[in-house]
Amino acid sequence: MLELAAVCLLAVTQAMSGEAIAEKIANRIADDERTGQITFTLRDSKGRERERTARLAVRETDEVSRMLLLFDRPANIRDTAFLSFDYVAPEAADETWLFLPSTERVRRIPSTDRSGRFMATELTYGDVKDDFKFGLADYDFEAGGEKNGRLVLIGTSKSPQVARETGYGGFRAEIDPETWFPMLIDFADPEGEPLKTIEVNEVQRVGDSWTAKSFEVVNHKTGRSTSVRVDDSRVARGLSATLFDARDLDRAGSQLP
Amino acid sequence: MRLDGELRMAADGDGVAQTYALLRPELREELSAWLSFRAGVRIEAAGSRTGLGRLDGFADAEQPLEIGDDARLELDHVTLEADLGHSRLTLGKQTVAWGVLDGVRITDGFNPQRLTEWVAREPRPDRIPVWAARLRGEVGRLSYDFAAAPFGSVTQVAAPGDAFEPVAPRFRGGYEVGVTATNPERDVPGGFGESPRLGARIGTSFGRTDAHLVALSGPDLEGVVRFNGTGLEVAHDRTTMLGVDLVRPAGAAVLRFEAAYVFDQPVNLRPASLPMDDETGRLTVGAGADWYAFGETYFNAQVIIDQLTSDVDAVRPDRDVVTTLRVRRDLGTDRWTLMAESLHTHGTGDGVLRTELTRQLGGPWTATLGGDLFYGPRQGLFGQFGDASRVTLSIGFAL
Repeated sequence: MLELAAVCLLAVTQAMSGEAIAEKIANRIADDERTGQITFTLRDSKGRERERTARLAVRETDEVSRMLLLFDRPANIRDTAFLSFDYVAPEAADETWLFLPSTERVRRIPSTDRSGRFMATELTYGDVKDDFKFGLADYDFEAGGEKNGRLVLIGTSKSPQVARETGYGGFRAEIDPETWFPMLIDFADPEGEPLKTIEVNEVQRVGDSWTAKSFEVVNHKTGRSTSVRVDDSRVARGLSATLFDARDLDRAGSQLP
Repeated sequence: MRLDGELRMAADGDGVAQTYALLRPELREELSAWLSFRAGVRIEAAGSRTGLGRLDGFADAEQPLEIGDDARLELDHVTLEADLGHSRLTLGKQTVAWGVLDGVRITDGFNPQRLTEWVAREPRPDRIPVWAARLRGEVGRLSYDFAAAPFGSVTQVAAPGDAFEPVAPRFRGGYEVGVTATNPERDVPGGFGESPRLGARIGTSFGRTDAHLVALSGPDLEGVVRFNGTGLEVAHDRTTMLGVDLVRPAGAAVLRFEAAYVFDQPVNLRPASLPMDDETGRLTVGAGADWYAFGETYFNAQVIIDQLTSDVDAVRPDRDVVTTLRVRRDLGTDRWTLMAESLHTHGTGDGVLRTELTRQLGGPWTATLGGDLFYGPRQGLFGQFGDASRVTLSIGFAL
């Protein structure tokens, strides 16, 4: 019976346009406040690994997504806190602050463009901001049929300028029609050459929303890769307001569970 | 319990210039939901021409404990912090880091700093914790930060004969090295309440511009050479400063501005038979920007103008103009970090070029290879250390 339902769902969704699929993904429910523990495993082209562990807190509204990362490991970056405000309005410039214990100051830092690498991982700031969604203003979408029980969505950058800003000329993604979560994304660079692949190994339901619990990013140009794992994800409504206040970033360690 | 430390060696034209070891154990405890405790000590040893610095700038209550000739134990910080809802109170030995520019102190004058290696240390400034009470919080759109320190420790400089001993006449009452007994003791107002340091910083935001007003009163951290009737001393009169800082993002860059006016800055006058000094106004203005370019290379550029505003015949120039440029790039999976920095004084034409290449080794270890090249005339802020140009190698760890 369940199989039949899945087949019916796929049959219905297969008839959807690329724009409609992208809108479904963009409108995926996101819980407004959540916490977790995030582990980045960075691998260079020779397979040598480095691991970074951070506590994570996210608060989202219709206007802005606030994210706090408080690094616990390795010890030489312990207590380093990173706070970002990513504004939904495309004309609003994002804001970021950093607290480095060695300098004893909270410092407003320049936002790298969306194509900049996030914390030395193979993710870009844009990837983190988009949270497995595709900017409706960035791409022309096309439905690509079905593969392995997933919908295929193809995106092409609306202009060379957008491609430069995002770092992507386009993508091909496989979407789970039940969760509207992209499980596999192949990105091309602005010249159309294969750039990187993001493969989601596991999704989890946190409150009403689906989030990636484990995923892998492979950069085909550099040979580097990043594994990301999020543990202890939970809805955490009622987080202290000061947690996302840049002025209090130096004490995030004692406030974030 | 945490522990970090460093082993460092430096070589210059005369051979080994520095052998240095630092250990910093630290304890942190959350005593309750609103009360936390931190304590750390600084254990350091140096057996070289780059020593551990003079001790006569410390108030007795803040002075490190000497262990033989080459090692010291210092209570680095010990604080009890209470979260009072919209404010927090911190009591104990601590640092108060104000200001927005990098590596230069305009309004960032609450704590004295270690200048035992002048500016050739990371991070810079290296603030010396002092016993203090600090209350900070928010009222509506205003933030406030009040701090008071009862003892009058002043900035620490290198010991006589050490590689980074200030030798420019501007730092010696106008005298050349060897002309007179110009290593006088510091007359530090170190008694409790003898010359307390009091500071306030009030902040708000206008759109995306963060702004602060700063007021600071306390003993002059640098001092002037003065004849006290029986001999020479370095005196640290009280000064009062008003300042402002602004930070504003502009596209992909962040713009920074900082200014301070000291109403009563003591300065040494050009020497006659005995050192003389006078008070003058002193305006220090700095502006800078940081941004990313060429991929993910971080740039920070600043210009600082330090101007005496009265017509005095001071030993130091009426105006110092210093530019700084710092470039930093993480390489690969951030296993390597390259930093290059230029500090240059316009007018005297002296400066320092600094580079550091840091490698993240396995586990808690890092290794850093660096170099400091001081150039320019010997009366300059940086040129005075022309003989201290060096290559450094350090191994750091954090557990």
